[in-house]
Amino acid sequence: MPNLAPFVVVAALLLGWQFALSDPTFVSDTLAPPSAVLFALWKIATNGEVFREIAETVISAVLGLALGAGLGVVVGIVSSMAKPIGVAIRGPVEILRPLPAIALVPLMTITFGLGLKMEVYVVAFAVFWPAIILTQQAVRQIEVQLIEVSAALELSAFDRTWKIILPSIVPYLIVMLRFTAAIALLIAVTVELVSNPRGLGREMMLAGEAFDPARMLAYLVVITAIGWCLNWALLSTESLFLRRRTRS
Amino acid sequence: MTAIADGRPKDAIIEFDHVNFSYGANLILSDVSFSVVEQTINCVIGPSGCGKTTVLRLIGGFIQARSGKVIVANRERTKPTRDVAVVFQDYSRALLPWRDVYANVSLALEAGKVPRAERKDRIEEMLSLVGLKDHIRKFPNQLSGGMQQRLQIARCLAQSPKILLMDEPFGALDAMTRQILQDELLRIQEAQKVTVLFVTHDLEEALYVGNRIVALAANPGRLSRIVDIPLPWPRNQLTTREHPDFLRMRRDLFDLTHGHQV
Amino acid sequence: MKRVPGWIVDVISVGFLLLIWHVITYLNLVPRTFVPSPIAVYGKIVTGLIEGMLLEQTTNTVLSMLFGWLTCSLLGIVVGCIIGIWPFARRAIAPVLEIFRPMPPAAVIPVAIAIFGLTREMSLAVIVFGAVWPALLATVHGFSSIEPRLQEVGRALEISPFSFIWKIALPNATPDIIAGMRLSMVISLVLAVITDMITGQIGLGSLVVLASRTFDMAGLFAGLVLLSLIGFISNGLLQLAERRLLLYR
Repeated sequence: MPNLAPFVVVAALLLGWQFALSDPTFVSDTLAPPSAVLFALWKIATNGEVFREIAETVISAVLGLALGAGLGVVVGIVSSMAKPIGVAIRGPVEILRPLPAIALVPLMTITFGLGLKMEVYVVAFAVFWPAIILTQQAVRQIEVQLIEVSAALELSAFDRTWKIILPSIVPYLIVMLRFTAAIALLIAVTVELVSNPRGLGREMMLAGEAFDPARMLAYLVVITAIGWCLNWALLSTESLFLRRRTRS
Repeated sequence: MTAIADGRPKDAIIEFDHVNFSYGANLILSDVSFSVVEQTINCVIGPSGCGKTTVLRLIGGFIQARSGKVIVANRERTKPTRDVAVVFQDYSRALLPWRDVYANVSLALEAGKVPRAERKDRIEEMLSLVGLKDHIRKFPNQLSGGMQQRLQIARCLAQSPKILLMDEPFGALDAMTRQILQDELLRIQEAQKVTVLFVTHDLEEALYVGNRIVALAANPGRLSRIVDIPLPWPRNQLTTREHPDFLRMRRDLFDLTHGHQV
Repeated sequence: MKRVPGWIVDVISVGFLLLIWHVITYLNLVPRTFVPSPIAVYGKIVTGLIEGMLLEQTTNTVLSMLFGWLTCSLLGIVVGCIIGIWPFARRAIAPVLEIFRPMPPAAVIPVAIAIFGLTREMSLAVIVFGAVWPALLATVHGFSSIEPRLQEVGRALEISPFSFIWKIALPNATPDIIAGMRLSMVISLVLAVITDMITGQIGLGSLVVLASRTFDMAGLFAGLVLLSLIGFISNGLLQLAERRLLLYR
């Protein structure tokens, strides 16, 4: 029997929320019943604006992810293959990594102005550090024998990376991607909430300022749903890869 | 009831009375009856899938018979109690990794509400009994497999059990450590006067440590034979294993652990 | 070759990074208006801490972070323990919590502003609500993933439910709980900064925004340096605590 209990809990929560706010004399600037949120969702979906905003947010998240994670993987591989480099960057990575990326928004705004570019760089900064760390961990997982094989074959550094290291860390890189993609989306939305005039975060902030709680909550639902889809998509890719590995 | 040769007490402490057990539609044990005499070592053997571990878990009180009775110390078994200790095969999972050797044994005494002042002596006694006295402050993952199993045995003994259930306790250890621990078990059983129910798939091990063998057959699990082991005490890794009775029983019982065909 | 301790290498490499930064600004390789020299930033930090607002801003941010983190940790552990231990709650509630996992913590800010206004309560509510998830979910996971063998050991020893939680379930969940608390700490700091930036309350977040508006680059970098130090130190302390507590591994 499937586990129905969580659905009952969600339904009860939604009904309770609906019921608590369904008094017709109740007018709120801050809260809206689920029915109103659903209606607002329907409205932003049918007039197409939600898709425009999703595109804006997702594009900056994806570009930032590509830039930050791409650089992170390169630095991660190089630093784990060349030990002196690994030792040399460890300190700076540890000191820069805890800096909240959002705090860079003002600096990036001065440098690049508001807009796509600034958002992409902030996302890239946020993603860069975990990408390095997770790539280094992935390389550490490689069987010693494989490395010894590549040494015995006298492969060049390039061949070693391309033919041995990269293929063996691919499953870990997908895990890394799932982790960093969540960060990228989170940072993109947050940059928009804080100041950048584009995307889902800005729409949510505007709805709040316009005292339109239904619309605001509708966007919150959209943002959460995207995070959920992203996680699901990458999890499926991950299990697909794992299955293929174990089958062969 | 068959009498036990070496003159130990003869009261039954564990009784299986027409026990059936099934898991869903799967019949695991079918009409199993036997009894275990106090202060003896009883080995349950049989091919895989014969329900050896189920017998042990029924006595442990972790599961209940679907029909029939499991009686331990004159009471029907409904739940685990402290007077029956279980030594699991996967010792590394049965120990608390965050407690050191001393504190792992202490858990049994804490559970028994033994006053703090009395714990120390008792823990040290148990640890010297299993030969871990010099490793008191080590954590389980700093111990070898054999030492981890010794630790689990020490914890079980610390709960002062009447019955010690052992589920293939030495199955995961290397041959050398196995033999050493078999001898330790005999020594400890002698000293502590506990009743031991020893599940194993290794016939020679069963012959070596046991007073009696309870052999099960598979599909569904059922009683095959109960055999008393007439080998002289004390047992010895060299002479016992070369004893004519040992060799004869090994040959006679070989098919019991290797399926139906003789 | 004698092995040099890791931390000395780290200090040297960070020092080298500062040197590169200094040389770049000294040679005017990037315009001074964008990147101030490390010496200017250092001066700004020292004078700011002694006579300016910097000390107050720093303590405010640290206090918000600590308050949020402690509240979420406590809340997360207690609620997570109940959900993780109680089979019904685990079946019914734990999957519901997963819905909130992908929600960006900062996305509740507009909702919180609508409810509390641009107040300090709003900041704290956002920090607690946003940062509670890692601690909560990790605790649920830690409590619901007890080795079945240990449960049997507990049953065989007839341990009371309370002792079982205290002596077996809690220590068993500790590695997960600490990992969750570390993540909660990071999110608490981020949310403390973001709420400062949005509400303009005194703190390092608003400092960075104000400094950028007045093109006070040394001030801006001073804020960034302090923030990364706060993150570095808090994370380091937790790592230390983790290593101490999990010595048995």
